[in-house]
Amino acid sequence: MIERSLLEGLDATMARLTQLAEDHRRAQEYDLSCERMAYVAAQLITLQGELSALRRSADLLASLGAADEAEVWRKTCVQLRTGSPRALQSPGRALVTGDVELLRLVAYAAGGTLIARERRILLARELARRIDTLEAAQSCRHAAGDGREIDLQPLRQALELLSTAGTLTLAQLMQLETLVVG
Amino acid sequence: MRYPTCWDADRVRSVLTTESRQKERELFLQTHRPFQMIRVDFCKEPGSWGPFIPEEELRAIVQSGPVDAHNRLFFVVGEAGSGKSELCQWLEYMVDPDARLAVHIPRSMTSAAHVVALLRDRLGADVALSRAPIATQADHVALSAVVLLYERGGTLAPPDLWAPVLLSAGLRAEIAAHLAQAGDVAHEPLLPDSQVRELCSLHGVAVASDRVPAVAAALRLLIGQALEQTLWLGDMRRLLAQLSDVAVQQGRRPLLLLEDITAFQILGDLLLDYLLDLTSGHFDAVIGVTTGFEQTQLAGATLVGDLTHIHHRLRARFVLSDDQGRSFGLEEELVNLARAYLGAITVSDAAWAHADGAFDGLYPFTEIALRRAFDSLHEEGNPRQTPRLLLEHVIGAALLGSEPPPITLDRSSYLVRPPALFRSEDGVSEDLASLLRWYGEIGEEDVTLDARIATLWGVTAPEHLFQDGRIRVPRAYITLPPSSAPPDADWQGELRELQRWMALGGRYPSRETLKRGVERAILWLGDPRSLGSQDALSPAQATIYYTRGDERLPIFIEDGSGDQDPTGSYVKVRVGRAPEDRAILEELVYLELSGAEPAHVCHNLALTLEWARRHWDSYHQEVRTLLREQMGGLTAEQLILSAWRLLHGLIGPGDDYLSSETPSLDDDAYDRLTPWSPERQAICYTTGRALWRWQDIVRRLFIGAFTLRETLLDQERYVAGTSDLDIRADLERLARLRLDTLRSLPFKVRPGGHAIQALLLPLQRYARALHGLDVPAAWRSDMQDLRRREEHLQAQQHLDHPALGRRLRELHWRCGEVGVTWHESWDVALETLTAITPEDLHVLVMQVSELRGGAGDRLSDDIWAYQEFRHALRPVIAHPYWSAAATVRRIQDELLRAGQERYRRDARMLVSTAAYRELLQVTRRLRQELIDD
Amino acid sequence: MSAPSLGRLLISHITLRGPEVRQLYMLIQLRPGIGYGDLVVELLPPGTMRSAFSLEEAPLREALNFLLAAGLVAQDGPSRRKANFRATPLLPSVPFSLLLLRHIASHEDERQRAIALVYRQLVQEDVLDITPGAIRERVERGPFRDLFAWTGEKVMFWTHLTSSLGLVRRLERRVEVLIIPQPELLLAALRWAEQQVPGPSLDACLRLIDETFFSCYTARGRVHRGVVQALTALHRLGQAHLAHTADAAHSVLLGERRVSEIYLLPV
Repeated sequence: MIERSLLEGLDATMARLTQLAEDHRRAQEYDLSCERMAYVAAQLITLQGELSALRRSADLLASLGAADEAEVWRKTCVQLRTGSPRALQSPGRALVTGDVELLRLVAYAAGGTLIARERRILLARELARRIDTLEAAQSCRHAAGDGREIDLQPLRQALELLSTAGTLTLAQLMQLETLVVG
Repeated sequence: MRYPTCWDADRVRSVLTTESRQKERELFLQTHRPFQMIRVDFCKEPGSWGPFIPEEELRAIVQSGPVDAHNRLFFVVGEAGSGKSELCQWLEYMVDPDARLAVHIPRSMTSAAHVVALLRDRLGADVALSRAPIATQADHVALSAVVLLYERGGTLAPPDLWAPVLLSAGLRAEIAAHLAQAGDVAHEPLLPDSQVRELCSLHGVAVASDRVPAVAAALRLLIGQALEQTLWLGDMRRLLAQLSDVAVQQGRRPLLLLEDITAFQILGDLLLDYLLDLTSGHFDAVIGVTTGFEQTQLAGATLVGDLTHIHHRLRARFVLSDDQGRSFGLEEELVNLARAYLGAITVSDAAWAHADGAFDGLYPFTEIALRRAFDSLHEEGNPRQTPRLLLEHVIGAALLGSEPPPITLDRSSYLVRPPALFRSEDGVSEDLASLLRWYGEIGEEDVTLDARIATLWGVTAPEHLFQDGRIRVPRAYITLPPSSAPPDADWQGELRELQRWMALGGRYPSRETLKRGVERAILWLGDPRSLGSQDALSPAQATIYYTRGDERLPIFIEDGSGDQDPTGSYVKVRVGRAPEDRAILEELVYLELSGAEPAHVCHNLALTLEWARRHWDSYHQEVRTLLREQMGGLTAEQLILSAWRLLHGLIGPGDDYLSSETPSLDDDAYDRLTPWSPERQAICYTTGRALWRWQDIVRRLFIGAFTLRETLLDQERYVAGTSDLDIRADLERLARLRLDTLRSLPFKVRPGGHAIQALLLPLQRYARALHGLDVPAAWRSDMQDLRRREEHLQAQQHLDHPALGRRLRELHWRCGEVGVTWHESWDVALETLTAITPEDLHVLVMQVSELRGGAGDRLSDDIWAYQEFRHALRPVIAHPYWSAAATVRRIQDELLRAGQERYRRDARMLVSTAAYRELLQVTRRLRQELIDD
Repeated sequence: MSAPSLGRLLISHITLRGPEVRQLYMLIQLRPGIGYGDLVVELLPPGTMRSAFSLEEAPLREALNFLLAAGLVAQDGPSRRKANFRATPLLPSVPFSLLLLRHIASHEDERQRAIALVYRQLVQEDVLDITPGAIRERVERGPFRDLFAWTGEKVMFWTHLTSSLGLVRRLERRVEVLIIPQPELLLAALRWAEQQVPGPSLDACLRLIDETFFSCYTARGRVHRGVVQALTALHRLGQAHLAHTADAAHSVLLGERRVSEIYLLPV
């Protein structure tokens, strides 16, 4: 071992201590970033869920022939696409710094979710109206002795789901689509 | 030696016969010396009887009874040989034959037949014993014997076998012949052994030839008892009564003189019974009894079984000798008695006429010799001064001996040799010693002897002893000054034992006295068990002592004295009996017995002290040799010097090992001076500490062995000791000492009483530790250490001291920051380092490099050089810098350790986490959704 | 250190015992001109701490002073500490004990001869054993009572010194002193005297010893009992042979024995 002077020894010790303290601080910051990330992730997943439900709803209505309503989805996409913050593409920096970029991202996610949900509820109402119509026609046909009968129950359930805050799973939606398109 | 004699042995025997009865009246009266002192125990005759009377008064008492008075009994009590027969014989010769009929039954006459014959003889009656024909009497006796055989049993068993023998015609004929002879006092004894053998073979009784005497004796006893029972006893009573009556009728009163009743058995009892029946006759009976017999046998022998009963019937009881067996009045009469006998034996105009003056008519005795011999008379271990012993074993033995009396007396088993009171000088021959012992006149300062006696008997003496016609030998035991306590009463006895041992060796019962005397003389020169210097004066001294045995000096008296031979580690002063030492031994015994001053007792103190010195030296040497052998060749001095050197080496130079202050023995004190590292030389370090605790004892031992004063060397002893010391060899010897044998070492350190092994143990362990230390390896290790230190110091050469100061101060708050508790002692280290100057460090580095460089030349396997190096090393490595530097290092270590514990180091890059990658997928999917319209 | 105190009484060196005096003299004799410092080095135990007052050297200084006062040793140099020392014996090649006795006996100052005078008085009075207390009483009543003030300490010193020289004997555990010379001392004296006198006359030898070293005769002109004992011991131990010839001119009585000649065993 090469001997050092006492001073060198002390310098090294102090430096090492400083290093240790720095590491400590960074560990604490990392924890914070992780928390932010989890929050943001949750928001974005909600947004994505809403958007997905909106698109299904629009698709369903479109399959039922309501073209106007289907246009709602496209408009919404444009609107969210144009308003998306930079951080949506690479959120790392925003999460670590926790600055205004992060705020924009959070606001975007929250705002997007609200818009998607609002429009989905509108579409759900339209759908409900159309199911009622279908039901009436069904009962007429039944009265006319038309033996062909459509089970409307799955449609109603889909509707139920769409109109609430809940989100249909992909499988449920596929099933619903099959039902409606029949 | 020559012994001119002028007497006829037969004449000597006849004059000196102790059987008074066998002497002619004329000869008897020539040699008889009147009894002047006969003690009267009691006497019922009227008159006042003082404690002692002469023989004439005794005669008057005995004869004072009227002729027809009933039986009157007198006891004469005395030791065997005290003169009972003499007295009886004298009475017999002196009584008036017209008024008294004396019947004297001597001690030798023990058979009833003899007594009866004697009585008949006195009575003047017919010899025939009985009216019955002798053959009938013999038949009666034989039949009685058979009855006794059956009743009593004994040697002759079974009775059926022997009855026919007893009843045989042959035996009866023998008995008849014996009865026919009875009148003759000196008749043949009954049944000789040869006859018994014949009788047995005749009747087919097989008796081995070696048993014939026993069988014959048994037969004789049996027939004798039958004889007494059947025949004589009844006859004797009748005879006695007859005798009494006849005598009274003649106007004479019978006087029965029975010398010694002890000798009779049944006969004695019956005689006594007859006489005690006071009305049975008119006898005056003087009965001799030995003291012991009266007490133990006589009482039981009577019908009543009570001595008082007998005493009540006695007229008087006379006693001839005292409890010690000394005849009353004999001492005073001694010379006259001897003179009377010698006069009856010797003739004048003898070959010694020219020297007669020296003997005063007592040749071959002098009065001194007679008295000394008389005083020395012993029988069966007890002193016994009786006339018979004097006549037989002093006078008779001397006259009949072929050597002069002193030699005869020396050899006699009846005489206890008196101690010689003169000094056992060279030149005093055995003969002269013997002559002086018996004939020497004991004066105040010397023992003297008429030179004519020695010349006559051809005893030579050194010329210087002759003076004025006398031989003069200085006394060993001069009269004590009045202030001295009288010596032990038994001092003569002890002296006798000593002289006997000195002359012949063998058991010496009172040897303890000699030992104490020897011990006293040897201790005059100091204690030979102490191995220190006798010239050491310091009160701080200690010495090694031999401590086997008790406090007393162990002494062995040689030549079978009864002492145990010293063995093994038990060494004793040996005292022998060399002729030239004898006078000194006598003086030592006397010194011990008397408690007198040495200068008064010792004839030549210079010689006594030389004797003591010789024994002192040889014992001291033995003790030293013992120690040396037990310690593998180390002497006491080598041991002390080795211990001292080891301690000195351990303590190092500069310390005052002889400081009289009690040194501090705590561990810190040891740590400050030991050259050994507790880590790297752990064994030397710990064993050194154990030895170090003994430093005061070792210092005291050094003072006791090598100084005159505490601060003045005994140069002679010290130089001798150190020149004798080979510390390397002694170290090895010490290391090789076997601890198990040390445990039994009989040596201690005094004062203090520490067993020597208690010191040897740490010494041996330390020596072994030093011996076992791998010196080259230790050197190398130290050199590495030094090199490391040197490098360390060189690294400090350009130290920025102000910056160091700042950093040191920073340490404190850094500790606070990470939670390290601050020790106060750390301040000291910090202060040391803060205050240290470049010059200080320079000096230190110089010292270290000097040590490294200097040691380089001396590197060897020599433990002493290495120890010296360690001592030089100690102040350098004890410099406060090192501990301060070490403390700072420790603080830093603590800091880092605490920091590492306290601070987390698990920080990561967020973007590289899986969670972030998931997030990216979410956003990608989201964007996908929006594009996918 | 004080100036040499040569005037101090020999008998006042009461702390001395004898062996240290002999040892010091032997050392000085062996190394003539030896300095004080070297004496200290030789005679003080190694490692002895030297105190400011050099008390440790006191026994050495006492012995040195005694030798100087007795004239056995001379000092060259003014201050003792800086001086050198050499032996100045009156007689060549005699043992130290005899030499010291000679120096004391022939000292010009009567008071310095006191050690020999006490012995002379005891021998003349035919004393054989005596306690120190009794010695003091005797000298205080005797012809030397006015030499100086006699004390118990002086007498004790006398007994220690003379017994160490072999002139008298002290026994352990006993108080009395035996006025009996040790045979070795007497033998050494006889050996010396034998060389000086013509013929083997014991009387001549003893007279010479009496004049030179120590007293041998009582006031009545008889050989002292202690000397007789020592002579007899020498005879008995075979180291000397005593004889008497009827025609000898001088003879002495040894106790009862008349002796005219002495022959010593050759060394």
